[in-house]
Amino acid sequence: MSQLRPEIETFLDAYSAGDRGQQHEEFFLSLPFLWKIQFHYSASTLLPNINNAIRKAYKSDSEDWRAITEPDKFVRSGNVIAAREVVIPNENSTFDLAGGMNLGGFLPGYALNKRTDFLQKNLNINFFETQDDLEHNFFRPWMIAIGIDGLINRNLLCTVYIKQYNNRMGLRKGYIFEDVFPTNVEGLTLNYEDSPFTQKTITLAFKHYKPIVPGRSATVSAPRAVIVKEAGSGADADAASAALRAARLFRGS
Amino acid sequence: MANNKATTIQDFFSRAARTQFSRDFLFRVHGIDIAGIAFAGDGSLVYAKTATLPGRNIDDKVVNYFGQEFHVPGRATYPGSEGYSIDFYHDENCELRTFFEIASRTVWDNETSTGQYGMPGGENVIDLVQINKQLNPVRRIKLIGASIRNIGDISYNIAEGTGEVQSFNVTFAYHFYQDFAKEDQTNLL
Repeated sequence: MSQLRPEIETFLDAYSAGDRGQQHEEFFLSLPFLWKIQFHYSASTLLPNINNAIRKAYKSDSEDWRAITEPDKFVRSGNVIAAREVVIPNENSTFDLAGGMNLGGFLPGYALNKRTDFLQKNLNINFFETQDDLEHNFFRPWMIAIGIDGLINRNLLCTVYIKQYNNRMGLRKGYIFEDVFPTNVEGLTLNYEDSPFTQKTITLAFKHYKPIVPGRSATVSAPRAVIVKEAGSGADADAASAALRAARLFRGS
Repeated sequence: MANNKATTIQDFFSRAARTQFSRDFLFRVHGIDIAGIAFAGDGSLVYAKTATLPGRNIDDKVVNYFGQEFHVPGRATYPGSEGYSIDFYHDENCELRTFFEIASRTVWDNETSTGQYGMPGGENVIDLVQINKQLNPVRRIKLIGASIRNIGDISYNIAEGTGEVQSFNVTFAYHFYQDFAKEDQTNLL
């Protein structure tokens, strides 16, 4: 280690767990696919409001959409497992040039015009098209109901939680989206080719977007490790066998 | 403290005498339970001729810094899990192959456009057992979420054949295999 360049050594020291099995939280690289999503709403409120809105606008069968399923039916282990991909919205500011246009060699000044408003910040979620199609049987009717009642019907809004986890499946960070409603549902192409399973993108708008900040600690400890030390023969070999048995017991527990 | 002395022939001999060696025939396909068929024990599966103990992989993720490449472990994958292959002797009445034909059509029947092609569950397994010279199991692994993929073709040599015993290959897919140590090793079969 001492022969390494200081930059390399400090980088390695910061990002690795080292002998103590503990790692600086600042540098721990979590696997990015450890995330879950949930919709929080009252089923006894949101679904009837969707269906009532559609029913009062379309008394005939001209728009016979009904919310007959809901995200909660797709939840296992605290996750809507039909969700395949989530795009967290960006944050963007618009700046304007300030001052005269002809300043010779001087660059014009600039000033903040506005942050991107919430209607232009979207939360995109891809869902599998399963037999109980969440898009056609929930999001599309929901979107039509919003179109009829408008956002003034606050019972047509919900809250979305997205959570990311660390290597111990502890909450690493997360996001809360409040007053969420759909603004776009993706169409569907059917053909006779051998295609991958269909995923459809639902675009959601929201009023508030804020972080969930879990309790912070200085280090990230790895799950309890099993160390099997190889040995040569005799007593050492017995020790190795005992360690192997312990490893099996541990992993089996 | 590790001994820095190089290993000797005596070290190898004493280790080999104690731990012995696994042989290429000390392996059994103990059970196949997939959509359409279920084999177990010493029935049709005694015709299983060759199979492999599958491997496991941790993806490698590269992080670069100051001209140095660092390798960070990523997710676990099971190489070859999309095509796990078993060779079978071909019985004269074509019974074994017929079972696999049934399994294949159970998954997807192109004549009726129906089938059990949903995701295979934890009950769909292939049981593999590594055994010792006393034929006792030393390791057992389960290929979880197994389903049939390919039934191999069979070549006949009508004009110049020598009477060679025929065999055929069947390929399965599985999601992952269950950890050795999660089974009670004293009560494998």
